[in-house]
Amino acid sequence: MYEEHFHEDPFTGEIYPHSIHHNEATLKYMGLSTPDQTRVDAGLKVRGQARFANDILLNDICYVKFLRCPHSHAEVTSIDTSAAAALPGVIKVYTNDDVPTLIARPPNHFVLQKVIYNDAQPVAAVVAEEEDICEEAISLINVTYDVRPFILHVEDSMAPNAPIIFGDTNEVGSPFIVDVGDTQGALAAAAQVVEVKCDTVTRPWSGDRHTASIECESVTCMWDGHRMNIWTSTQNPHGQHRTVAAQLDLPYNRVVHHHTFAGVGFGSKGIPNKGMLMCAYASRDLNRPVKHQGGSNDETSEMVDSRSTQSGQHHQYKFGLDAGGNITAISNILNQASGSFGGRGSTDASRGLNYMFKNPNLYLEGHDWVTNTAGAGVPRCVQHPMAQHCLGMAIDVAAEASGLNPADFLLKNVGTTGGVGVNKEHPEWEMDGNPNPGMLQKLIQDSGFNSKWKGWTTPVSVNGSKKRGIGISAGACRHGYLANPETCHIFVNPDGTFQLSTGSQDVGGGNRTAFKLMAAEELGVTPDRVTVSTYETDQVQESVGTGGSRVTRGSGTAVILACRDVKEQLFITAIDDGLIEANLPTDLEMADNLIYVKASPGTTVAVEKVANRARNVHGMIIGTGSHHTKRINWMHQSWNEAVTEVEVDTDTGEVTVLGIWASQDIGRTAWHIGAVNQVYGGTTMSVGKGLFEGMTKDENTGISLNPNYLDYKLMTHADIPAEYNIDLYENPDDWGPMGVKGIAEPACLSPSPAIANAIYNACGARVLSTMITPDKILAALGKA
Amino acid sequence: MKQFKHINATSVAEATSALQDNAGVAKVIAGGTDLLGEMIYWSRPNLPEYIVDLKTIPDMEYINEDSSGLKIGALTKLHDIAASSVVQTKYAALAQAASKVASWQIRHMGTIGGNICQEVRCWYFRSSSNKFYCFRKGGLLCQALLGDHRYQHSIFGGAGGCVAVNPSDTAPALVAFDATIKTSKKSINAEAFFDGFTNTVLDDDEIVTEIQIPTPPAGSKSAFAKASIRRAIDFALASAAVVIAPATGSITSARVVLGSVAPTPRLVTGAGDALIGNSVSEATATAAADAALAGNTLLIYNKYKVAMAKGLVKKAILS
Ligand SMILES: Cc1cc2nc3c(=O)[nH]c(=O)nc-3n(C[C@H](O)[C@H](O)[C@H](O)COP(=O)(O)OP(=O)(O)OC[C@H]3O[C@@H](n4cnc5c(N)ncnc54)[C@H](O)[C@@H]3O)c2cc1C
Repeated sequence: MYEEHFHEDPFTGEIYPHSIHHNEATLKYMGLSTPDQTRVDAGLKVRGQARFANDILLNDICYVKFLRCPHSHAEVTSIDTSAAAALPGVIKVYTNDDVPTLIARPPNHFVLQKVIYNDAQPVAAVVAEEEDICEEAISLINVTYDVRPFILHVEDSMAPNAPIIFGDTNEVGSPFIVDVGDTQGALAAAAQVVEVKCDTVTRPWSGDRHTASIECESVTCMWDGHRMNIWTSTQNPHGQHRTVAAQLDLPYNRVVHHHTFAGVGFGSKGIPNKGMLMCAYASRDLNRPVKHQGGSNDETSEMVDSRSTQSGQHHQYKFGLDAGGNITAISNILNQASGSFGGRGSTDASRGLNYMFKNPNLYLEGHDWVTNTAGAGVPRCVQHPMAQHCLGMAIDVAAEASGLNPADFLLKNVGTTGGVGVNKEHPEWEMDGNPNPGMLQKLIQDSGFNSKWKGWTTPVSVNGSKKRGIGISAGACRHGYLANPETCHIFVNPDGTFQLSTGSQDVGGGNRTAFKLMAAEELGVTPDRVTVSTYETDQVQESVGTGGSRVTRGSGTAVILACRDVKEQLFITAIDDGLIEANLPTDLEMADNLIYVKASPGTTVAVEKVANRARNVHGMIIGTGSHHTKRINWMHQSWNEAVTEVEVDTDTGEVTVLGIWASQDIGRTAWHIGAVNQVYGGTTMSVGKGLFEGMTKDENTGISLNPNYLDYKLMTHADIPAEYNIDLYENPDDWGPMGVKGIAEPACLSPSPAIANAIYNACGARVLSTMITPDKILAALGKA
Repeated sequence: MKQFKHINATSVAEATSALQDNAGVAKVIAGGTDLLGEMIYWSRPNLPEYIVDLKTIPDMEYINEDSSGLKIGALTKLHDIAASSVVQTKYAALAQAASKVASWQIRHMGTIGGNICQEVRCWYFRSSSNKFYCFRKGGLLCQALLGDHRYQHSIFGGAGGCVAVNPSDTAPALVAFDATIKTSKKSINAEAFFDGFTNTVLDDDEIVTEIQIPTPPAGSKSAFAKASIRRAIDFALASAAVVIAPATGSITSARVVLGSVAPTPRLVTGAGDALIGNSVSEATATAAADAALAGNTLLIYNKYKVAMAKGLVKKAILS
């Protein structure tokens, strides 16, 4: 039925049991684009019956809301809650004095802050019978602040006389350095050196990018006298479970996180949420269910306050080129805003260059600087998309300097080696397969790039003030790696059906549907025989949180292992009970709902017959897949490449996206519809990031100006082009279950720089930042 | 949301007396797409305690044409205006302006009365929890003047000390058509209806009841052009409405109005004059566009609006 390719880990010698490559021809259920492969929860969602966290309403429920600080850096000197507490309907008002240690993220992300490092951080919480009463009470709280000097821009944080925000210095940790070959020597010897600066945050301060999930964060907590019950929109139920247990000093068995559907996550729902911790604390304190919901004026303040931005990156690239347009050396010095929580972004933002190009010489230097802005974090990927936005534009500048067409320049320079040695920082690592040059060649072909491209500074076409241009970009990201823990349980029902569960939440990406198809494939049963349950953290064991684009690989590995466990138990039962003529379980295999003898495929027994026998004679079959991979995060690359066509109105600076061709290195497709939609979503977000999205703060006060979805601009349907092509480029991966790779975050990489490059091609406006809005385009055209 | 008491008015008289009874603490609501945003965000100190609903008044939602022109009830939805064939054919600039407001959903709730009475969109003024006590709210400073004024701020000076623009898309079209705003007290010419500091010249107890547009000159054409960051939802960075007669041949009358670049819709007679006596061409459109932007006093970060507005004037004229 399938060939197994056992791989030995180069460091641990561990055998990878999950590296199964089904023979393409025998795949029956995975990767099909037939419409019968619907999402397992489609019906519930379309009918509005799926229960999201905000739908949870319990008897005797009360509500909590936060009073948020209006300064970017301040200390609370006094806080008077008496008028708020006296308002009818108010149950209790909390300040930092009541919950001094309740913390969402060390070192200083307290649920209620005393010292504030970014505007919108909560300083008090009101619990009341109604949300409107909470808000009324909040307006009655009197706080005085010692307002301190704040820093928004990285270069201001780096300045020698900059105020120190916290710690001894504004620089976080020591610089990230990669030094391979002789970069300085190679630059000195190069036929030409191209220098490019790109900033994702510009003045007046704007450009940080936020998560912006379709569903606001919402939570209900209920202390039942014995256990803390939590319902919240999360990517990481077991993680939230453990955080609440630790913060409330409860053992793990006295917390349960109940399933709710989630309207995506993008990272911010994987990290502890202040609303959840406050609800949990207040619920036990008051012995009532407590609810906190995003939305109204709280919604986006929570985003300002979260650790979930792609923060400001200031890149200084140098490319050494030889006379033939080969990149001989790359140097990049990156200074990145860490935001207010001491996180690091520059390592991630730099690393892509480890494996993207063939250049033998590479020098990377990354610094992170504290700023009074939201923390560097995770909006659908950590820092790769912003870094790739900059790199993709800088490569276009280098391509122009080389004189080559940008597609040819990429083909000449993208890494294609695959296998050992492709990671410059760790040449000894065995990396995933690199799909290039095949993937790039196919994209160039499919998009008709070469026939549309008319040359540098020559638009594709001109119609009055409207000019069309085309752009290309290619990049890779380390997401979609294998991650731990990897767990799956499968119950075998006596009728030969299977109930599968993992602890991984499906935030809408569709991993439950993908698991169903992968399990059906591995079990050799039709997909209608497999149901994938939702989690309850007291019923399923922990599995990897839904982040890092790793669930299909991580939990998917456990799914395959659990399937194998189940099959072995079925085979043993079948042999021991004489239901099939065979000696060893390894003599048997399953297909089409039958167990058969490999050597004599006509000899079969129905799965249900064996499952029923197990129930009646031996006991129920429960399969488990529990695994811990020794492969580490960076041993992975997933490529994303895009061509875009735009029209720029050179009178108004408005950009219309006319066409997108996005190609995603997928390994192997598990659930086709879901995978295509992931790439549509990632591509759309990427375009929005390039053109519109950016948190904005007032330079004079540090206060956020656009913490709402009118002024923080996400792509709308009207901005999406009619010509929209997604290609899932299959290149089965040795390390992924069934050859899959993670795709959700990588999909955000290349469309935005391809858009920027197309804008340049159209009209000559080279805007080396994000938020390529009409004002910047008109300025670049010399019209402002 | 800020809590309030809700009053259903069943006639204009009932609405105005509810406003008088609660003078200073009451506001009317039509579609609510603008007003409720302020209530949700607690964006300023003196939010209304009473909200008087106009939607419960019968017969204020209509589009009627007679020999004198077009009459639109104040509660008429923007979608209905955009979709009306009479508006599309004879008052194209208004249909186009209404169709470019916000989104499908908002156009189905938002009314023309609310659109011309809406509050400014300056992000300092609108900041949630009233974080900026700005000049418009009675404070001493216009933080936008000193801060980030790239999108919703004037290139033609401020109203008093406030540099927010009037954000309405239909307003420039109505001024271009020389419309009259009929209220519960009087009739006001559209150009005089707007006030950069108080939005409109309405008294606290005064309600817009009808928009009246005189029949445009025979053979005329009109158009509206808007530039915004996204193709949906966003307010104009600049807009232009023109009414030109006749559409072909030597122009005898022309009104050119800029939107979203000044505290009120800006009727630029010089731009109309540049067209009169000429016929529509690239050159006359450019001359009119240059005239339309004469005398601008751009701020540090909104210089681009000059080129953008010129481009829009040209587009509207040439369309
Ligand atoms: C996301 C978003 C995007 C938007 N984009 C645009 C845009 O692109 N272009 C644009 O022009 N607008 C835009 N708007 C603004 C506005 O909400 C709509 O244009 C709408 O027309 C307002 O009408 P309404 O009936 O909902 O007003 P309401 O919110 O009911 O009222 C608005 C104001 O007018 C007053 N008012 C209402 N009716 C009357 C009356 N008959 N007499 C006296 N006073 C009255 C109210 O007291 C209130 O102060 C947008 C709003 C949102 C939320």
